[in-house]
Amino acid sequence: MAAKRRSKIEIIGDILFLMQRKGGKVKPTHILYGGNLSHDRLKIYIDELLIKKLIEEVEEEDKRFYRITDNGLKLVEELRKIKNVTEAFGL
Amino acid sequence: MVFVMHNIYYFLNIVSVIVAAIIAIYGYKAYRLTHEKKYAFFGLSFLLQFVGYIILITAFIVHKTTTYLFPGAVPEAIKNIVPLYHSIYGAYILFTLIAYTLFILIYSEIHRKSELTLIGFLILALMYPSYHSFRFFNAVVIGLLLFVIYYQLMNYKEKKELNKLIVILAFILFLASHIVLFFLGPTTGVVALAYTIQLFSFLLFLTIVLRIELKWQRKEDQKLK
Repeated sequence: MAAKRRSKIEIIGDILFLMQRKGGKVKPTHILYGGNLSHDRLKIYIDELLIKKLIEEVEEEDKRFYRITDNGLKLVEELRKIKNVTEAFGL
Repeated sequence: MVFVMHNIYYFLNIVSVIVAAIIAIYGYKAYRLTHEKKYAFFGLSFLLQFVGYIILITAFIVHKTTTYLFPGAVPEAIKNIVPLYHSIYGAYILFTLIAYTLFILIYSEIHRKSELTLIGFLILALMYPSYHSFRFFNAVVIGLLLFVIYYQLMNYKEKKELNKLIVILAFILFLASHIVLFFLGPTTGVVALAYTIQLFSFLLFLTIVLRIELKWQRKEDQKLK
């Protein structure tokens, strides 16, 4: 049976949950593999999360990381609740 | 006594109103984050139930209180309320039909404007006989709910979770309430029974909301420790 295509909310949630699990700061490649996304789609989602100030870009030792912001952490909790409610209704 | 019980029963339905509002807010938040139509439909479905219940409860309480305060006589106040009461009942029927149809749109993944327009016309076409025939209205709602429950059972089979089971039970209770109304008719006692069954449906929804909120609160408390 074909896997169900993830919705936008699920992908955003997966990225933010992954960042939270990894201590709040991750490399782009971690998001790429952990979030199970193509490079193009990753860029779209990262740009959106940056614009919405849910994550921020940081550079340490010439390496690029993404860090979840306080707003991002609040959204993670909000998303968990929304996900639970919408899943219960089969959305 | 019957008057007091009747009004207490409608007052209790404020629980349904609050729960419908909370779930509508969840739907709105999901839509705001994703701009996916299914969340807008979901939020709108509960918003319509919220508005439907508010106008219905208000209408019943105003109507019953006015009748109680002016027994025997038919004062101008009641004469003026009757047409308003009929309009409110019409709005309630329309909102209920749309609310359940929205669930079918979500589960069938119908998003195209042409299909939505067609379904909109279909609801309006069903509205007239539904307004004039209480049994017809309930028959339509029973049909819509059977579809909704079928999709939810399929969803439950994919991944078995307690919350999903609670939702199915809640919709089965909605179905039961409309079956009661269909077979027994709109007498005061039957209507009270049917809406009490619906109150239990909303209490089940409240259980889901509380399970989710309390689970989150427990995690927050653990973090603080």
